[in-house]
Amino acid sequence: MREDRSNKAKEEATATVSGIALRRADFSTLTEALDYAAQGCTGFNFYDGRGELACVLPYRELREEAIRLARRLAAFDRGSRVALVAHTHRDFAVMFFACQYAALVPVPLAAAIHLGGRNAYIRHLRELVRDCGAVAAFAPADFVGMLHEAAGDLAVAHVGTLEDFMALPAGTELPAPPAAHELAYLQYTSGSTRFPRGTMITQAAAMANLEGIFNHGFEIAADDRFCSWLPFYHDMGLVGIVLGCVATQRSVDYLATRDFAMRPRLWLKLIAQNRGTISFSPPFGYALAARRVRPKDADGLDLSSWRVAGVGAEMIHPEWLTNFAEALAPARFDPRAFLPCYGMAECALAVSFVPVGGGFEIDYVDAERLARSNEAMHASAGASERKRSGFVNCGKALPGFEVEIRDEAGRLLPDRRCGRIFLRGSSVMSGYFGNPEASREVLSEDGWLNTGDLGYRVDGALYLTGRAKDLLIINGRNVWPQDIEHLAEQQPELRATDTSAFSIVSGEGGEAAVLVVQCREMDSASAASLARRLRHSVQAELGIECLVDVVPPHTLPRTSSGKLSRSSTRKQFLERHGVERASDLAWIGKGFCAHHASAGASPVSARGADQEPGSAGINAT
Amino acid sequence: MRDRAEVEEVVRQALRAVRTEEVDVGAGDALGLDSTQAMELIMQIEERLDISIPVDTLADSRTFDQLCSGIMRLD
Repeated sequence: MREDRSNKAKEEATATVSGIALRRADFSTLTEALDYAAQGCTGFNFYDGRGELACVLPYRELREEAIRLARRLAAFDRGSRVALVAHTHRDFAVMFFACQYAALVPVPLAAAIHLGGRNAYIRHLRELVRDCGAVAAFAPADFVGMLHEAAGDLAVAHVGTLEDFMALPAGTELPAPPAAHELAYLQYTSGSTRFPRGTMITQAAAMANLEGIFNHGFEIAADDRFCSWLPFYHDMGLVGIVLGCVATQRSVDYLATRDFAMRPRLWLKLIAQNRGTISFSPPFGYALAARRVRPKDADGLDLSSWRVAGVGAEMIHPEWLTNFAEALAPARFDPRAFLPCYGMAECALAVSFVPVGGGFEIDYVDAERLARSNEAMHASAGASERKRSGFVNCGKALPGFEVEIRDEAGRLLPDRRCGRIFLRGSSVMSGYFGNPEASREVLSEDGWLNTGDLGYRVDGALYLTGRAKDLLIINGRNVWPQDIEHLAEQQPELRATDTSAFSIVSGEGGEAAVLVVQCREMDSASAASLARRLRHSVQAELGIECLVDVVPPHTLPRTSSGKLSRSSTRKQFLERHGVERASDLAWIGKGFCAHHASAGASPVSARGADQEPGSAGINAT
Repeated sequence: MRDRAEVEEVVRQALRAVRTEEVDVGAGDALGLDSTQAMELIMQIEERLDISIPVDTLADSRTFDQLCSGIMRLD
């Protein structure tokens, strides 16, 4: 945002009250939603890394500029994909809605670069631009050089900034606006390039979900105001905030994700100063803010206006929320504002919410019975912490959804029996773009979506207990083990069958990524060098810290069909090191183990070894 | 013109404040931080030197040396 500061600094943020009658996302398409919002005086406000207002984009201006730009995009065939580097920037919003008016399909791409990660990021962009078959690609000025490199050898007709696209010749007519059955956008479910899965969401699906969220998830009011630092390439940030606020005519105060990560206090300051009422974050955001806010910061803030503090996108660890509430109690933060929810990009965004104003609620169940027979029965009152597991109530599904919990054989399970969560409803995706095989794996012909999540129900309320799929969720970000394993295979010592990645519980309750590699006997110095290379490579490519364990050949367990089993590797790893969580590893400070440790270092099978990493909460997207 | 030795000292201090493990980072070594730590490092450097480090500089800063050189090139 810095480039905008000099000439726009004197503007005022958009008002909270729109001046037009509140409509709660009851539109059939996104262009209809913006056409209506543009009649009021609300809009987007972008703040810089110092918390100063850098740029204001009222919905009226957003609509006018998007239509002007749409005339320049109208030459592309209806339904073509346009890749958009989704930095938190006004130009992204303009491009996204220009695509809507031009009946094109925007595809938001990550705008996250890790230290020294230039080449990795360019490769990432290229893979996704290729996967979606984009005819054009946009990036704001800071990213456009890398986008040019990424798109260089692909058949992309036009690559550039908003100014570059504005310089294209304008057509006289706009195409007919998108119909309800046409695609509203493609959303990649993770940054994976080995495993790209672009969910196809129609206008009808997006609007059905927004309508459900803002009427039944939590009823939006005419004096609600949003504040958000969520990335625009994440479903919660894109669908929930960018599209949701247009569809409900709400003003938003935006902070770039990077600025939040550097100075979490700015998030709270913006809510306090603008009397924000609604803000969402993965649990990790609350944990980061609690860790970095000093007592004297909290004293100077007034967060009493914050009535909906949404929590989703990863496992909810109750203690993270409790820490946040305690740290911000002097700022009059009300813990009853916490609103756990569950969802995923495959359903546009949200599936379930708890009722507003109740805070979060934990169900304590008998851990042994859960592990033995998948029954989630109340733990006895005197049960020690080790004998019980706590799961957060994620609320009832929105009216548009049917929910089923099924066992491995596909049979329906009653309340308090843990199984796979299946969903059907009007906001479920049409499939993964260009990937019928992956689509068939999760979506049945009669419309049931296999979420890959495990959980149980009590009187309609959902409790998430873990994942059946091999996904890692690190700080709210989805990471596929295949991507980590692929990086590992680039090292000369390793072959494809020598690597296995998974996550275990970290010390703080989140997930820690682990990579186990097997290779022929080598001295400990060479093994240490391999481990260090692997850690750096994962850091530069994926931006996460990864624990590396180098083991002798033939250590990795295989299934009867000869395939490597990540869950068995994980179990074996925990047993080999005699721990239940990452913080207990003797070598945690170093981050790797290159001793070629022999199996059976600790024969005691830790109880937690059978449990999925996130056995205390939500795995929403 | 900023003083290279000063920049190096600031980056070294910031690294010490951010890293959880006790490792001496040599000039040509990768910084080895996850994205949360990296953001905290950048914040510390920005505040100590009163500068703003653009995305481009970060993208090219795999090692301690590269980061210091990137900062030296900023106005």
